[in-house]
Amino acid sequence: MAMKREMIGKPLTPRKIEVTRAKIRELATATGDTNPIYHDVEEAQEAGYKDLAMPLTFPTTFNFWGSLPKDAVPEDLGMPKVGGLHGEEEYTYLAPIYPGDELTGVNRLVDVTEKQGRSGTMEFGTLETVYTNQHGQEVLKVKTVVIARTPNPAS
Amino acid sequence: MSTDFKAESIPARVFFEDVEVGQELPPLTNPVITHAQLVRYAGASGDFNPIHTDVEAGKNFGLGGTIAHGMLIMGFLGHFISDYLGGPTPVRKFGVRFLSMTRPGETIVCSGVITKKYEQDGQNFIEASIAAKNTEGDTKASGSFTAVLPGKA
Repeated sequence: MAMKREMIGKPLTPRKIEVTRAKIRELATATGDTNPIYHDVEEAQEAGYKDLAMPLTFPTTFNFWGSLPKDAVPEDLGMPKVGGLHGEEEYTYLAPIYPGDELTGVNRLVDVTEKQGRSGTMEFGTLETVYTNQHGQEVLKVKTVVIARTPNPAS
Repeated sequence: MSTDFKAESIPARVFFEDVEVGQELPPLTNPVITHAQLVRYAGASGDFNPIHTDVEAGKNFGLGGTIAHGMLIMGFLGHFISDYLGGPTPVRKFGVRFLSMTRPGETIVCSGVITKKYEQDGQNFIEASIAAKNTEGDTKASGSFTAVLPGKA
């Protein structure tokens, strides 16, 4: 399977994400971060936040828990279903995100490159996602590099 | 690009004047990774790829067992940056490359060093390089972050 270069630059169907306190607490707990700004609304507000603060890698949950229309799933870009490697992840934070926000995320495949290794071919697909909040403000950009490996036929 | 954060009134932990290029950030040693933690992270993130949660699936895929989600390792680094800055708000950019696989039983230590300090558009920026390594010194992920800091004046 090859990544679909014909999809480069095409925005996929937007998906909707509701930011919730429960998922913020859950992710903070799973990464071992007990800072009360991610767990306790009162303490977060005393510290100056409007509500629970958003952990820096919380947007990873948007990929999996946001509503996924059929044509926004990675398979349609020719990404591997199983066995794909996560090469890179980069967040650009443009504005605060809080529980109660309703985000719209639009994914694009922006680049595909290929490298020949000794054991096979490696494809590097770069995805960009831009998230806009319910006020129409861009709040976050995410760049993800996925690596797909195709082994050489056994000789 | 950061004007949208100006409405926030969160007291700073780190001030621009306190930061020098070459300064090391306080390291964060995470508890040893357990299989149960990978299951918990799968639930929290929503990434239920069986190579992270199912030992048999990991073996069948030639990995010899389960491996940690790369994003768990980046999550450790996010925790580390948040501890240094007192929260996530000053961060404008945070990126990593994943360099090697992590297995249950490994302990991940996050470290970082300030690489740049500059003013731009009336704001004070710092940049740091960061890494997550096991206790043998194998690098699992490395990258950088950029943050905006207030001055003391």
